[in-house]
Amino acid sequence: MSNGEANLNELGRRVVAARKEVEARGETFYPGPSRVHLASFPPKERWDDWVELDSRSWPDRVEKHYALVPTTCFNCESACGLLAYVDRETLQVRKFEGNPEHPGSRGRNCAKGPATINQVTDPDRILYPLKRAGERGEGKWVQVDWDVAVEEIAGRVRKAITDGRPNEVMYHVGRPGEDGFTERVMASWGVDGHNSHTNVCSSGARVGYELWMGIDRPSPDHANADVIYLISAHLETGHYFNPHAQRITEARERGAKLIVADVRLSNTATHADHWMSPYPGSEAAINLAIANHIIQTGRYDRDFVRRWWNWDRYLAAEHPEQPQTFESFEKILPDLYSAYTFEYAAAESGVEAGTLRDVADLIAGAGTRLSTHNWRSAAAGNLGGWQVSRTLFLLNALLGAVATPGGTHPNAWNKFVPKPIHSPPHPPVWNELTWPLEYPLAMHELSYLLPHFLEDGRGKVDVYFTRVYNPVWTNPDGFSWIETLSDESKVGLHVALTPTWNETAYFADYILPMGLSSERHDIHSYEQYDGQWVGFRQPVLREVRQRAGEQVTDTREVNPGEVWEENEFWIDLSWRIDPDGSLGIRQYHESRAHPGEKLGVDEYYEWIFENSVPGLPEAAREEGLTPLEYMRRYGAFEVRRGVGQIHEHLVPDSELDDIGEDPFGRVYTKSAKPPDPNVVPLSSPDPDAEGRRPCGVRIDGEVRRGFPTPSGKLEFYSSTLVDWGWGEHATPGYIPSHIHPSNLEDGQMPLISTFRLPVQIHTRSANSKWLDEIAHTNPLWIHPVDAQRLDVETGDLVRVATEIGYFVVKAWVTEGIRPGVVACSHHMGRWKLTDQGQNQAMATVELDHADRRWGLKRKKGTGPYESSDPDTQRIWWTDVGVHQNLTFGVQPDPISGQHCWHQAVTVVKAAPDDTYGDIWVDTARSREVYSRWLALTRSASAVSPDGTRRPYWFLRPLKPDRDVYTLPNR
Amino acid sequence: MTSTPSRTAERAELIRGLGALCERPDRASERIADVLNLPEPDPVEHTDLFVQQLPPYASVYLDEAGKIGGEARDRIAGFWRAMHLTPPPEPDHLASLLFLWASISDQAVSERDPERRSLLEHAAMALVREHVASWLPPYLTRVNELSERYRSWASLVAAVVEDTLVTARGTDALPVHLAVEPRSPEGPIDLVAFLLTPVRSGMILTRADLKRAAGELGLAIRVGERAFVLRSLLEQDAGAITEWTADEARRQADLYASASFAPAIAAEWSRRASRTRDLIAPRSPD
Repeated sequence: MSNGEANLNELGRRVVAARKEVEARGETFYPGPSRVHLASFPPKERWDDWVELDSRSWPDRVEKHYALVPTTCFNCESACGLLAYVDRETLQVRKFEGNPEHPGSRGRNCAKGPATINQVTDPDRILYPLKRAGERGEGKWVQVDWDVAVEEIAGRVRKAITDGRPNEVMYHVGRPGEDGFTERVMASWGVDGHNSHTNVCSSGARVGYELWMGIDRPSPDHANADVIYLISAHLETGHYFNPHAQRITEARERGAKLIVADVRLSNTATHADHWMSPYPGSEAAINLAIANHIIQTGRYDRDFVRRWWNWDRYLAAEHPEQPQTFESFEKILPDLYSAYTFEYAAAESGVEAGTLRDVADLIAGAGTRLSTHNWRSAAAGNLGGWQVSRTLFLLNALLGAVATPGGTHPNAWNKFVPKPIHSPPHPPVWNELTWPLEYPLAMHELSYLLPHFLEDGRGKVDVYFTRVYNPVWTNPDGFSWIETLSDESKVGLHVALTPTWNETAYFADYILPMGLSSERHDIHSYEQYDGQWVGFRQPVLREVRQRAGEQVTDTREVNPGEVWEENEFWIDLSWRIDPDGSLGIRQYHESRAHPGEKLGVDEYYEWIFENSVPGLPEAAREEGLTPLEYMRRYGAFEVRRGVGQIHEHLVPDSELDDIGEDPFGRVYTKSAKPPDPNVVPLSSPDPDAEGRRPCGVRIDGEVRRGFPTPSGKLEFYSSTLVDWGWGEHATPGYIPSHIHPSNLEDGQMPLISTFRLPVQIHTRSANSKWLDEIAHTNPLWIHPVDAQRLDVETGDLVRVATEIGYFVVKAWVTEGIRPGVVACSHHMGRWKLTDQGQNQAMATVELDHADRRWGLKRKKGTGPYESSDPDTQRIWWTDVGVHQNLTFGVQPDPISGQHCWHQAVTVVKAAPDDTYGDIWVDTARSREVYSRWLALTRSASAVSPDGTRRPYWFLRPLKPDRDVYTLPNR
Repeated sequence: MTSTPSRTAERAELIRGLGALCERPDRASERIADVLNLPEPDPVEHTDLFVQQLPPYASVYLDEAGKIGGEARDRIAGFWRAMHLTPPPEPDHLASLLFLWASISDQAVSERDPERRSLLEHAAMALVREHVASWLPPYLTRVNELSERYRSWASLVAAVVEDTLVTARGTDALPVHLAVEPRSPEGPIDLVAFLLTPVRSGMILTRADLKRAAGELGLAIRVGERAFVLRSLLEQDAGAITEWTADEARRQADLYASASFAPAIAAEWSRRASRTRDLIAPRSPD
């Protein structure tokens, strides 16, 4: 054979042609183990019949045939891609592995993904609708038909609506499902009943980002960064853990530097080039010292600051006497943060000034490749925590590392929320139980204050849905929640939608079993790199049966027991609320193809995938599939990659019709907003006086898209804060925490409670045997210096006293925590009142209740038990941790509304009659704590600049009609 | 500048396809072999050739220890990093190297900026010279000898490499892996390691070779790793096995001298094998 050049070229052409032909059929040309892409995945063309040898039959070679069906993980919010391995013979899911077609997780998963199989096969899970038989919390239930349950709930909701009590219907969500789905359900009912958990989670950080960008989440491009600065433990335990962790790891392999500010030596900190262990609450002071260093050394991106900061509005408001030029601002800028020297930050944080200088130099040298992230952690722990994310983003804004490769992007630009089939109007009501006047600037509902608001007499809840949420366990002040949920005059009907038993469900009237990852539909999109993707969660057995030619119209036909998926549930419930359509609700849950008929999930998703996801119909067509078939087959679709700097986009002339422009260059237009299939939530700055909508901002003579803020620029200066009574915080600053040393009494120390155990996920992983085996307890981290002072060793019991009570926990003496600070993970300490419930990570406890004083005592821990799952016989641990959150009073930040989790505590050796896991709380003291923090607020009634309840431009999960923004009695 | 073969997308795909063929046979490799008119891959022969006899890892042939890993693999992993790529777990596997080559070639083809394209082409050439062509002359020669089924695959790989190298003739410097004069054996114990380390001895002694030696000399072959087998042969008849090895070194030196591609590099391998023959021949009873 001749291998001359001509022959080689011909052979090359033939391989190219063969590859095209194979890939056009939707098959992989180079399948099998890939040495280039790190992983080995079953080639997608074999997903219908994937053969593996049955490990249990070894040494015999017995083949098992699987159908591989994609879905997404339901454990944390990342929605990583999973492939369910469905046994073709038994039609049972046998295991979950990564979906290589998922752009966010790229086939890689953390432990929680594969452990989904534990949850699916959990012998203790709830499989049938249950109705309370005795008193609330008594633990007596009867199994009922879905029809009975849904009919009663629907009747109650209908009556609340028709009686003019729409605010008595409330939906309280923990783990979100599909973007906007239940918000739209609430809107279709005309109620302002959406209540998220976010104010015990990420709301503080969101305020900081929202004030800057008009978009409340960051999307750090870790993979392309040169320096990564995390205020949290994101690499190992944080938000978007797996998608971010794998990209941080890639960046580090490239030589990127990792800086972690975390009081604890977290798993993330162990990977850091610089681990700073600051005194909790001092993080913003550190950020400002770094910012000051960048400014004083002239290393900020001058042109970016000139073009994209709203320095002009700052000058106009704060220095009207100065020439209104950038040069004037530059003269003032060095003075703004000059007090934040390294020595000052060192005194506040306890981190040496030299270390701070090294870190600052590293960050200053990153230029536009600085990725930063703060989520929960310090922003969720401290009074004024929202300034942590705000000062962190200040570093990006100084360096111009905004939406650059390796920089931090606004999340909405890296997210795609497809326009749904129906979009009901904004509800015409305002619910003050979730959006009280005292917190006009809160980003999210004041959900965890509900017991106190109800006790204040501010209203009642007639139908209360808790949906994959467990406020009794998750929220602070859980005994106040128990008091509220036990009182039918406050909560009329409590419906717990949950796949698993939890502490809140014990106090429900109905427990309705909802599907897990492989048993429900959802569309997802999350900011995990500079791109936009859509992921699809689906009931995998439904898909397998449909591939076999069966018609499945109700997910209960294929799910275990009578587990239902939520979409079908909400559609059915809405129809029963408005059976004849007279309330105007039903229309939003009807088929488009067959008006008057109930909308089915196939049509719902068919419509979205055909009409709202650009590029998907074409990609599907190339493989001879419909868009829905494509998504059912691959589970994800990447809409765009390399989105970049949308703020720099020139606004097309077609949008610049009859424009108006304010003195600062904000450009408004009379032209209608072009249709966009991506309905990702963005802030909505006000129109001008003539009703033109803001469409851009003039920069150097050209109209660019800018940011969705009032100024159209990055808001270094927040006129919103000034206008709403918080002028002292108009620019990024430092607010000493409520646990600042100056606020502690003698003998008190801060308790850090905001960190996760890497393999656990709040309340839903309690029966994941594989995860529980890795992590099942939450000892108190205590530094040897403090341990010596207290005369305790590892394993000794200590009593940790908060303002409202105490808990008894084991000490873990470690140098991995800053001296003078203690820490205890919030991920453990699950409990149940009877044997009913989950048995692998829940202790059985006894509640002792007299007046407002509550005690919780552990009767027994966990242990091996017989069930349908042989793994339950192999439970070797008894300790499941301590439920510390019960002993925390509510501490809402007066601006963000975020619960400030860090606690001022005293730690002493346990008393002789203390036993492990003991809890004692006085909820009367909880009321005092609530009242004290409430007094810090500045009510909209007093400070509103325009007679409204809240800045209309701010994001809100469910935005009511603009008319009801007006303050009452105005 | 006219487009050289390695700068076309078709050539990149051919390189990628050839890489896939040294992976475990599957449907893809059957398909590629068919397109290239190569014999259908056979799992048994593949395992014998690429697992038992000639593992396709650059470090086996280029590292001072003669094993997978070591400084040679680090050097190759460094090349991946220099290209801003995360090295895969086996950065020096021939499939990885050919995939990387194809990937850089693809980037070069799609790069519009002439300066950046030139840099990418330079990188592709550096990869081929330093980490691919540096060990393929002896490796492919031995594949050609040991496997009839994979002979034409080896010939194609050699042709693709040569077709690229000819555009850079005039570069006389040897690849860094071969720049240092190999250490001579330091005593009888090191002799075994020396003979089994290609970059030192210039020869590749496979399991099949040792079996052949035992057969030709009437010695018993013991089951074990190659060092164990060679030691046991030396224990049985040191003189005979040393002489056989010297002859084998000369034979391989001749083979490499007539290799059809990368002549300068092949000559260096031939020189090293000849040197081995010279080093050990006096130790034989003759």
